[in-house]
Amino acid sequence: MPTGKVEFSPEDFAAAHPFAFVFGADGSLTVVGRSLAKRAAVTVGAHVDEVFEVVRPPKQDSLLELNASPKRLVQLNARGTGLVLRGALVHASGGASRIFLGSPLVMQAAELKELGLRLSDFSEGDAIPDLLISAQAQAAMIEDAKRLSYELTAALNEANAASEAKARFLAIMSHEIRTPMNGVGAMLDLLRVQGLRPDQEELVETMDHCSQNLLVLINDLLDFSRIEANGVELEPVPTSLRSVIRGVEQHFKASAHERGLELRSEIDARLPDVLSLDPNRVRQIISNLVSNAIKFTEQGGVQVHARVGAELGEIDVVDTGFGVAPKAQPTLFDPFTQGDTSTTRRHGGSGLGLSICRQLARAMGGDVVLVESSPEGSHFRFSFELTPCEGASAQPDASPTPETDQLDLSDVRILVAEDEPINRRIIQRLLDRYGTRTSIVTDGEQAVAAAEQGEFDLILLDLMMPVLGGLEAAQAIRALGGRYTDLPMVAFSANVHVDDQDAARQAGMSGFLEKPVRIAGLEALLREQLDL
Amino acid sequence: MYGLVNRAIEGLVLQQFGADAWRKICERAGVNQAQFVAMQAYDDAITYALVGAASEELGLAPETILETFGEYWTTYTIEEGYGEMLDLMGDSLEEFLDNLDSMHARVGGAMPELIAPSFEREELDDGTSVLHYRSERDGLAPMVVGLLRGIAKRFETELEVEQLEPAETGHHRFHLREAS
Repeated sequence: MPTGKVEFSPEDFAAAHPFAFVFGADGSLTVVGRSLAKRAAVTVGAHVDEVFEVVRPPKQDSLLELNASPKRLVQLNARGTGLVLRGALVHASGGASRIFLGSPLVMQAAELKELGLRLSDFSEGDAIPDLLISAQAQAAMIEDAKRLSYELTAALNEANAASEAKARFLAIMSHEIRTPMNGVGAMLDLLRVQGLRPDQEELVETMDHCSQNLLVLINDLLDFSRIEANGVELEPVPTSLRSVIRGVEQHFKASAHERGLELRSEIDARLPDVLSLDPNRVRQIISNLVSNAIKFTEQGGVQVHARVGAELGEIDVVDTGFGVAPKAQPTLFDPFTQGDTSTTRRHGGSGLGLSICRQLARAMGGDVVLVESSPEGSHFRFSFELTPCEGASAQPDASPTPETDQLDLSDVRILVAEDEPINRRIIQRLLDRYGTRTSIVTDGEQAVAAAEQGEFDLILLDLMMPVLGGLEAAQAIRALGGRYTDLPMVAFSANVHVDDQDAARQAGMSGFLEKPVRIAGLEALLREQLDL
Repeated sequence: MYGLVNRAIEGLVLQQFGADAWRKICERAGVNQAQFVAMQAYDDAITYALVGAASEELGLAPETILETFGEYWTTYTIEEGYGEMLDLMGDSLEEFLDNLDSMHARVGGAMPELIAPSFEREELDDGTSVLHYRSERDGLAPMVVGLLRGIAKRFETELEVEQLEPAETGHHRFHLREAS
């Protein structure tokens, strides 16, 4: 009859419980688990208290005197081996013997090696090796993650460095291309004001058109590379959207009329007078949409309609052009793509404008989308967050407006610092138109000396000059104090990024004149700086 | 298979044939995997494609590649931080082989998607052994030959390995004789 009593042979017990042991009432070991015998040299017959030191429960010197209880945690040191066992003490053989059932207490796989233990020393059901292997796998995973993270960071740094190098290259190239462009544009202006025959006028117009297209291309490339490298940088200020839209309309009116198109703008009365916007970027987006609309429309017209939408401000640009081909619509806002290849041939352009506009608009909390397009026309929408500026007045629109009155500045003394000979000739010729008394020097140090010795009403400083740059020269001139504190002083540069303009402002400059210098821009600047 | 295996293939190719060879192998295999994550399970097809592409690119039989890879595997896992785990496997070639199944079973806790092979060593009367290798995956028996050589090297043992006729599909047998 089965009694429920469990009996093992000592050999089976020692094999199935490799770290267990049995001892009698006198403390002598009667059975020793196979791994304990093999690895810790524990032998049958030895006294249990000579072999093991009780660590837990605390204040117990003798395992022999410890009350057996399967619910009580017992921790032992196998003396002289470094092996720590954890388990419980239970009665056996009707109380004549006691059995310690336990396993080694180890936290790292490396400890097993130090203790001379191997996988085969553990019973098949013991999960200690699983946990140690798992811990080792986790440690390897962390190392793996660290390595991957390091490699990703290195790859990212490399990509960033390449991107920065590209941006630097583009900035330098832009500056270098703008310098000769400065000459072309300004000379065209000078030619035109000298009076030309109609056939010559047409040639000059074509040259001017080409140079302006080239400038747009350079600006787009530079803008795109900067947005790629640093994201969109906006400078919101109180802005009159009406004024910006009117400015754009004014700017494109002539080219629309030349093509026999009507350009109209309509502004919803509910639009706040002053909004917090980056006027240059808003102008850039509207100009791009209007310029495209004119470019792709052969008859009819282009209408700009600004209004308050459901949540955002919206500016719709609707034309009666030939539309965007359906297959080209999904990629229309991707960089370097256009409506289709034939439009590239017919109309030119980098295909960057819409991509840039979309990124700018998204930075303004809105978007630029193609609402609809058919062979009867296209409808683009530029949306942006409406942030009214209560009580603020808008900054004047910076776009140069042509003035009809010829300026007479014969009593105005202007100091120009410019190292590039062609640019010196250009600015001299341009200023000669107004009869100014112009002194020209070739570096910043000479500019400071000239400013100190002479009396000037306006100083124009190129930013990149040998010996002393324009920014340093401006600081030195302002540091002279007295009448130099509020003397109009203008940066004059082909580096036209907002950072360059900020740097000029911080150096004490009161204005910024972009190269290539055109008559209209120069005239607007002179009027502003000289309070004319 | 886990990324650790694919990474080991990469390590072997880089070590013996260089970065250009690895790039070409990945291209040929159509594997666009800049970095394998060791503890992530990948489709077996990637591993087979890499071995196939390595064979074509390097002009070596797939069996040769697998055998070389098997031998490299023990060195690689030590480099990757699994040396202590291997130390647990035993102090002799026999003990190591006897513990392989137990190790794979216990590793399963850390690698839940592991489809581990089974190894069983049968001791013969003449003191030699037959290793029974069972796997759900096809074609990896040559890798076991390399693996055995790698393990033998670890214990500084000269080992003769003879592949016997398969007992059945997926059950391969290897006769092992340690040089005295």
